[in-house]
Amino acid sequence: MSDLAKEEGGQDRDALRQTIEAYFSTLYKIAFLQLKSAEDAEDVVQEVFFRYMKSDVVFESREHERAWFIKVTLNCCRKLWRSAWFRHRTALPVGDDGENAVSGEETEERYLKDERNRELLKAIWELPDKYREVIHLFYYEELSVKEIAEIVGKQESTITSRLTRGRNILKKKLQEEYDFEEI
Amino acid sequence: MILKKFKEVYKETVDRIPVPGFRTEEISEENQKIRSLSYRRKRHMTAAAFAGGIFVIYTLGGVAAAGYARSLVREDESSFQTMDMNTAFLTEEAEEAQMAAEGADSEEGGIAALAETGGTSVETADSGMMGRMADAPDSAGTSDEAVLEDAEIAMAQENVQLQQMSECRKEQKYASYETFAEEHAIPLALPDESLPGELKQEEYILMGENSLLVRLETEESVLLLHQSYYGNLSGHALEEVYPGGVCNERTYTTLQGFAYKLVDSSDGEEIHAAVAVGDYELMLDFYGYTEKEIHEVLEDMDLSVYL
Repeated sequence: MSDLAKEEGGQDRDALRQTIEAYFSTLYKIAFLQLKSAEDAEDVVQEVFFRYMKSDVVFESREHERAWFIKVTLNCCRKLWRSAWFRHRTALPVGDDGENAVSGEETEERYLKDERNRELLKAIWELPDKYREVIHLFYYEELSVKEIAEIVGKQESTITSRLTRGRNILKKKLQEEYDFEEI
Repeated sequence: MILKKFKEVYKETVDRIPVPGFRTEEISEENQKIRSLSYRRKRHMTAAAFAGGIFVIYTLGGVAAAGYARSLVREDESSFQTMDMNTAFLTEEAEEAQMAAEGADSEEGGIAALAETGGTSVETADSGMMGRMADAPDSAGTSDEAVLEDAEIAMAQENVQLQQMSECRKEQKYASYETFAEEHAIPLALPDESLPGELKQEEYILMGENSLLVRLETEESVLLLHQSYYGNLSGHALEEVYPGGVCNERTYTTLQGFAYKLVDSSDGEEIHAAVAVGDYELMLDFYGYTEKEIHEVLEDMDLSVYL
């Protein structure tokens, strides 16, 4: 019964749970790829759902809802980028669990040991942030250029340009050749 | 030759990213506050050696001040800056020359600010389905965007180099002063008796040769100390920026005669202090301390170890 109690000025707790289940993985992966840190990604996703919980936003459609969550996630990532701490921190150590390894990081270490994953992820992480986000939204989330432009708040021509530049950089970095199915 | 589709490989790679478990109960006001405090603490654990910016330390007042520092400490509305005397002199000369060259007309030909805003406007839908962030005017020319995109590539490459540099700097962590002191004969002025409460946790992180971070945590307070050594450098400059800005700058001179610059964070949550002694510079961040407690800590720290 208490699960149905409405938060003051916010979302229904039960609806919140369903929303988290629907979007957590997607948003976590976006944040992880942007921030290169499992801990930061989790924090960002918590922040996103906290904002949702406190908001009165009403979505017009599933697409609107998805775009809203992705946009807020990217914005939270950008706020973190700008912080002095984040600028100076080291990237996610590959193969170095240090003293603070927890089960999540050990799992990541095994995952990152896969050579092709490692090479592709390294190339993606070395992209400028703005190219990385459009590459992910286009190839993984399968959003159109128009949808990405709305989420990111840029012109469609800018998104196309960023996709092209991101692909060009990846082609140079990746040893294996790929068909990028360019639009 | 049939090429693999990037999309398929990328999806497979991302699908394999392990996703942690999550509970709805973790979304709460309390956890939000804890996260905010954690980020503030992390901000001040940054290694100034990675900054690449310029610190200028400029000490004011105090009869003893002129004699013990080889650096200057200066503060502005958002940062402490320190630098050696030569660099400070050259910087001030260069600034004066630049001001003379620019003249009074500072409005002309400004580059359009395409930096993104704080991003908090995303939730408000003013037009269209999502509303737009006020980060770049739609009328920005393609050529300007192309120049910016090239600059971003250069910045990304620089970031990669900085990351590689940072990976080369070995980070050594110690959970107590005793274990740290066993391996390193580095002078360190720590408060002995003046912490407000029992010491619950301490951490010592040595980064490279010249940078040491210390965290001392009691039940209700945290003291972060960042110590930098410049005796083996011909010149140096660093800047510690506090997002949100600082205010209420003042000086506190201890009974030993060492003058600290103090500022408050604009949100009132933290107090920052800076001092230069010999070839060392100290930046301190106080969380959960009163002004009186901070003075007691500063009095308790014997800075003569740096001379």
